[in-house]
Amino acid sequence: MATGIKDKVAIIGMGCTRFGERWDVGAEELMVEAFQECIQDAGIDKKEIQAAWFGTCLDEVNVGKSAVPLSTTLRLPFIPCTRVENYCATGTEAFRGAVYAVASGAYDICLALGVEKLKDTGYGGLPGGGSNAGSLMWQWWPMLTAPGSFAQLASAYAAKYKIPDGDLKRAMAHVSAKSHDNGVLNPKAHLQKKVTEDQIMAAPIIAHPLGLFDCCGVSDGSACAIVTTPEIAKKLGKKDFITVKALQLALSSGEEVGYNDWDGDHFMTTSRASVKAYEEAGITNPREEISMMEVHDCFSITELVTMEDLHISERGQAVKDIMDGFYDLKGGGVPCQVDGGLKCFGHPIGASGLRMLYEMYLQLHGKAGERQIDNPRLGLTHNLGGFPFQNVCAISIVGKYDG
Amino acid sequence: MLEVKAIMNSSVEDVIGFKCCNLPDQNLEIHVKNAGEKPVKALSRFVLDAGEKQVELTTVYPPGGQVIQPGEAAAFYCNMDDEEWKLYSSITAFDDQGGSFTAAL
Repeated sequence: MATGIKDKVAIIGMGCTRFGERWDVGAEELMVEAFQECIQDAGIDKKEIQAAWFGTCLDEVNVGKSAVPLSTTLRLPFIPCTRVENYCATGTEAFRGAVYAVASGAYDICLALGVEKLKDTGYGGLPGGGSNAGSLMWQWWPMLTAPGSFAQLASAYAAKYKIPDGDLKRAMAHVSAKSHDNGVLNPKAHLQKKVTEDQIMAAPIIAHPLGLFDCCGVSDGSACAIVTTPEIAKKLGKKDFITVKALQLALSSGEEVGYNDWDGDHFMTTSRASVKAYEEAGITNPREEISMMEVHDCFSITELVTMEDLHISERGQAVKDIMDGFYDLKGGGVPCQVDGGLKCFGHPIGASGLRMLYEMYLQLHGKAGERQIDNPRLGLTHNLGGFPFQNVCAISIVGKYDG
Repeated sequence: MLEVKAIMNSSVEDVIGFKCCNLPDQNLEIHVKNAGEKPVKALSRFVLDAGEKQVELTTVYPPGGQVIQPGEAAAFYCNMDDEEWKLYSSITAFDDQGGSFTAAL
């Protein structure tokens, strides 16, 4: 009988680079930068790491294939290293591999590292599939862009709940303004300037109703974690350490596009994965029990809809909660995108899941500086890779060890 | 009826430079609001007035003008030198019907 992952694995060290257009360094330097902070934080020797998981999404344009870029860059001593990729959930996937390896008893101490070096492509968004994606791609994904696809999500959501266009635009502007407000407080964030809701509302439309500030770009960056068992963490002298409470992954099954039940207004994956995650973590009332969240705000509408798929806001009520400030840093509810989120901290795809966990880790240790939340207990991270109709959703919940 | 407002050294410059490829240094943000009751197309063209000197801004992003719904605003962006900006006292926006709308800076 499976018992889940709750409190079986401790996070004893984390590191994260500054995200942004890092022209000054390559992927290797980014990995080293994140790893040095992480291993120093863990207080162990590199030789104590017994296995590693390496997350990078677009290997074609940055580090290349296999996990050799990780093992050679960090000079890991001939240990097992595995490269993983699962769209924008790649960083969490690396974390999941390391956590399960420790939980299985196969290893005592494992490393998870994610990196992405995209800005050298000179492109503001995701690199195109190009000819290597196959000559028929434009037939099975006709006229498809990420903003266009998520704009359809916005339209379907507004139609289902009869939300006026102006009200949805204003709520999405609040979502984005909040991330910019929080990014100002984060010295590692890619974008660190405040932007007003009026500026966001007036910005050029990318795919109606999504404007320029409703869409995140991609960044260069790396983040990593070292995990072990709670028992070893105690032997290492760690006190008040953080443990994994839940790790869930849900992938589209084809039900979204193959059947008639889905209205295109939400994420079937997130809705299911979150229920399983709460069950695994022993959470019965997420709105009351979750202290903070980092969710996949690739577009403002994604964050808005995700609030409902995570069962924090009731169906059709996210706009009201957002405008009430429920997800603001000092709003008295569940602060979301405390570190600036994808929009302002940045989105180096392979590192994003671990970056989210890094913020939870800092907050739970009371080391988040100006953006510190009062007495957080449980933090939730959420990645969504792909499109509303076909995606990968990863949810992690971490918190202080209760054992 | 258009209302125009300029924001010099706008905080959006970094975002425009990052997200919109090859569009750096867009430090002047100009908001044009449709205060009328019908949609209006605002041109991607502005005139800055310094008394004896007038400068026409035509290299404005986005190009081609923008249709603005009643009560809504649209933003335009361009590059502006800090010292030159101090010379100007007003800005004028235009619609595609020949209308011009001036605001003091």
